[in-house]
Amino acid sequence: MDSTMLITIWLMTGAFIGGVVTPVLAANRAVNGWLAMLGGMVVGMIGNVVLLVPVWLGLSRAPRLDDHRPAWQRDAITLEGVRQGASAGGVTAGEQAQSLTALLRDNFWPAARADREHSHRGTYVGVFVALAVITAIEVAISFWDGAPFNIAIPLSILSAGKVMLVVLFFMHLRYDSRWYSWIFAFSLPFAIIVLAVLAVAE
Amino acid sequence: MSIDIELVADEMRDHLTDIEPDVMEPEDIHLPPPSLAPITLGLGAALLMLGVIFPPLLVVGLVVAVGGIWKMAHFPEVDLHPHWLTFLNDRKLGMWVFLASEVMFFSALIGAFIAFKIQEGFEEAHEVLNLPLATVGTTVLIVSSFAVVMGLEAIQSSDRRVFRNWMLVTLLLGLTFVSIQAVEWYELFDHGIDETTLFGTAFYVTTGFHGLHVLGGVAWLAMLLLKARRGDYSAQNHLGVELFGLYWHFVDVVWIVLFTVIYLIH
Repeated sequence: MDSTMLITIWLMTGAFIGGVVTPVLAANRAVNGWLAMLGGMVVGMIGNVVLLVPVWLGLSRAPRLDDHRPAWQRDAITLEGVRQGASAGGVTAGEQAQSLTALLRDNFWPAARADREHSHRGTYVGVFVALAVITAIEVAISFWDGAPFNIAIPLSILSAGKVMLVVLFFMHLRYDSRWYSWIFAFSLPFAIIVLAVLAVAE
Repeated sequence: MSIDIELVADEMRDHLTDIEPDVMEPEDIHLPPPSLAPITLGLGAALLMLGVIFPPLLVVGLVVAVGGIWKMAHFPEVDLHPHWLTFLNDRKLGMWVFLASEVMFFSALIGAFIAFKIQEGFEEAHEVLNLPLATVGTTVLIVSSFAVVMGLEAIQSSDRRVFRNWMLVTLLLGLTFVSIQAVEWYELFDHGIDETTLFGTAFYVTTGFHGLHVLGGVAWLAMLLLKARRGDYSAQNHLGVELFGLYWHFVDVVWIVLFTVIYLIH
């Protein structure tokens, strides 16, 4: 890799990260958003993350503007929040966080649906664990020298299973209208034709 | 002191419907005015592409593209109701049609890779390919997919704090994945595998297009986070998050296949 390429990557990544992250941090603060974006891009191009981090730290100390949004826009009104706060002001659960597990739960465990209908939290965790385990098995198989069969077969089946898990559960095809599934499946014949033609053309 | 949760839930539901009515009157619906921002973003992307030939254009393209993203982040979030006849949501339908076209696009690339792979004299670079690093990258993408569904689950119960946290995690994981890919490309280049070799061509084109999709997703997510900061999303209006999720999971699906084809099968 020559130096021109390195310099280009340095400029590009710096400008991108600076241009995206800085205005996000500047929102609701006494700093103009456009200025933050342009400034972040210039600083990022010069010093990439090395210079950006001090700028961000400084920005996070900039005075906050008064937030005129109604409370429900800023913080969640959730069942669990009400259960803990026991008041009508939309108190969030975070203020009562004591231990690390409580902190993690308040910040990363989605509240139960207010309508108490089909919450998929447990399902998602299960699918995630399954995906991780299958990936581990796949990597283990790829290291298996002298397998009595072509390892391409189990690997294809396992990755097809992973794809199905993601499509059915994470992309909600299992719960959504059948039409979306049909539209998605409609592309598969074309994909198979492309594969077949390429295999024959060889 | 014991609290009757059901009673509180009822009160909350009333409160929520007070401020965000489920049934909108026609005069409450404000459609966004016409905007040049999507065209600006497209122009920026085109300039970025041309920058491969003429590097100074990269900077110009980046400025224009980020400007377009910034403007688009200020669009109001319109959650259209399902069509009266089909009960399908137009935005979601459009997303699935787009994803179907993406399946065809990537199947051509992956098909070409497999066709090269079964040929004689296809120099695979398995000693050079960094399988542990790629496994980390795969895990990062899977975790990011999980982060998106947890974020969606949170916003569906109006839990904005958890939603924003998971989305931020997704953004960081997406950037991590792209960095890992950059390291992999650098290592391969260092070992003399460039675009003149058959493996190099196939590898860079496939993973490059995937990487571009991840970068596009990161830009979209940045837009989404800016909107989330303003409280645009709620239990009543979360379709924007769901559509981003569909795209992000699809990029994950493509990588699952690529990882198996490129790294595992040999």
